[in-house]
Amino acid sequence: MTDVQTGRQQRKARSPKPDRPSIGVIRRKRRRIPAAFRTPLGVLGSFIIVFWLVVVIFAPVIAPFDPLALDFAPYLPPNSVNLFGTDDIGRDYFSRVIVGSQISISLSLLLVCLSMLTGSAIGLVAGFFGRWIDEVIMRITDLFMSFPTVILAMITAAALGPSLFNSVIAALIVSWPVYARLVRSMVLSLRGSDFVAVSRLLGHSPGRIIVRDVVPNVVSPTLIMATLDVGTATLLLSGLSFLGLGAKPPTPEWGSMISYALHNFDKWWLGLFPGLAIFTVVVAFNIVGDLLRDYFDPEAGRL
Amino acid sequence: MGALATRMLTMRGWYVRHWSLIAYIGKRLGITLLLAWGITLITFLLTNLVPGDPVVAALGEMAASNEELVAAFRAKYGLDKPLPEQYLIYLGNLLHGDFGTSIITRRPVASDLAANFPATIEIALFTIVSAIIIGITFGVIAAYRRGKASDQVLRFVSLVGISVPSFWIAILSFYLFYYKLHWVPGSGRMSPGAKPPQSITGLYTIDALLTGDMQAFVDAAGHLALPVFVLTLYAVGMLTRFSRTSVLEVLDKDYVYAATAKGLPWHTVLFRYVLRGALVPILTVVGVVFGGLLSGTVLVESIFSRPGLGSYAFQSAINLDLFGVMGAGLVIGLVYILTNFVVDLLYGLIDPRIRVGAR
Repeated sequence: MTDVQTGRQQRKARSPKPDRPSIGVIRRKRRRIPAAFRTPLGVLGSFIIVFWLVVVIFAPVIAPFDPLALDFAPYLPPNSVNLFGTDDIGRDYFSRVIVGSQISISLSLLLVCLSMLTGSAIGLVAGFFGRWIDEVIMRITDLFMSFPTVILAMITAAALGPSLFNSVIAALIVSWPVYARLVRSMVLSLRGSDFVAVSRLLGHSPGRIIVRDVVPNVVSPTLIMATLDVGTATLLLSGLSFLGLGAKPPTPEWGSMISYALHNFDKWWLGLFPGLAIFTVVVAFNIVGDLLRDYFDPEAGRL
Repeated sequence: MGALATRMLTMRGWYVRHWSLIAYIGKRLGITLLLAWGITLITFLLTNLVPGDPVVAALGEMAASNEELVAAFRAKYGLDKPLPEQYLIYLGNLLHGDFGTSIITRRPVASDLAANFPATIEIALFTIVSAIIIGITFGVIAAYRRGKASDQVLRFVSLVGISVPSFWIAILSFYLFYYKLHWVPGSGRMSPGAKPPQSITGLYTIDALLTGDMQAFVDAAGHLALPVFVLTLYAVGMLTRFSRTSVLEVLDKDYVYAATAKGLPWHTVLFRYVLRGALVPILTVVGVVFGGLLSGTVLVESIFSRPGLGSYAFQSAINLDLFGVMGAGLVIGLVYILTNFVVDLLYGLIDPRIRVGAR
């Protein structure tokens, strides 16, 4: 039979330009970007994230005016000088949105890191030691998950007193359980695997087994989860600030800036621009998180 | 006598046959009670172990410097006792249905909650029903037309739905539909001066329909439109996303191919085979989305100045009204837990493979 092909031949036959001169190095490099990221949506998501990271780093350079200075007349609609108009006491709104990115985005990233670390540590302990420790920890996790998130975060933030730092703590309290569950379930399946058994037979301490054998295997799914979580974190933190439980004036923070529009809803620019900023950040991280998950862990998307 | 004995025997048979179900429900109710207790404990600890002082919040800075007044205030609400004792008293009263007295409204928390409950349920109910209808339809269309233009559009719509801040879209839609276009009446549950319909269920729109008061119905429905729209956006986003995934998975199953190959009409295949198989994961998401809605009501009710559990919880929380917060948290948490309980019970109904006890 002549039509029996090897895998390599099949691949060759399918590829549109089979006999390209060998520019192997370049081709291999280009293949490293997975196809999913080259779709319009993937490009858009990655572009927005890079865009905002640049803005966060260079915010003071990009912002044309001092975000705290009362340089203009109040309530100017967007014009050629004040691209996004001015707010109730005449601050340049464009500068406030730009500088606000430093607070809103970095706090969301900080929150995600903190909840990932806390949740994973708790999940590791529960999954690895099992028995009653697992039972107790998981019941506590259930308890925190049985509370609608914003309500619990709001109660915590209100009790701690409104401040940016406290809003992060409040959001942390509601966002760690997801990681604890994820990591625990992975650890439970790893615990029965041969390499952990071997490590134990070699007389390694639990600490060494966790760090050397277990942790490396749970890192990438957890990081994907964290990417998907940035959107949720941004929405939660800005929501708390919107309610007046986070950033205090005059700090430019997107959620609290939208609340200016609550009692001045005819001044549409006060709400539109900071909200658009939050929206783009959340969309971008959701897109990229989805793509990462589909690429590295196609099974995880199923609920 | 004979008939009764037979009847008792058959009843006994019923209990025996359904024993695992009864035991399961009993166990779940027990867990629910435990979680409810945990919720009161968390809120009690949170509102007490922190710097904020409810007395200052309730009386104001001026009165709080008057020691006699403060002492009288603490004694009135039982705040002068040690914390563990305060908590035990609260739990004891709770068992009698007494949620304590709100420091802010000066009324029993139980009656505050009862007054606010229907408004929130009204929003949540309309939202979840419209989201289930729209979201599952979108998800099924996207899965059937996988990779085509309509799939791309629907996936983008659902992405926008889950990414958009609800408080932002609430303010923008209020600006557009109320201020600019005058399509909807302003904030609140009814227009100022309008008389709410006679209370039967507490849901104004339903009550107005039941009493045949069309004017009140139009008014109440108009006030309901924007809050429901804002929350539906998020719920539809979530449901579209997950129904698409779970329908896609089922579409690939052999029994669906077999049903199609047999020449069954498409609607039979869709409703009897595809949806039946895809419904369990979708239901799970409905439970999760419901929790999101209850959270969302805090923001949406505050923005549209509607009374409700969300805005009550918010007002009590920022005023450090201990009893108000615990009551609202307890009721919202219970509604959420019970919803998920019902979802779990429905699993067994939809999918005989997950009958309880079989796991």
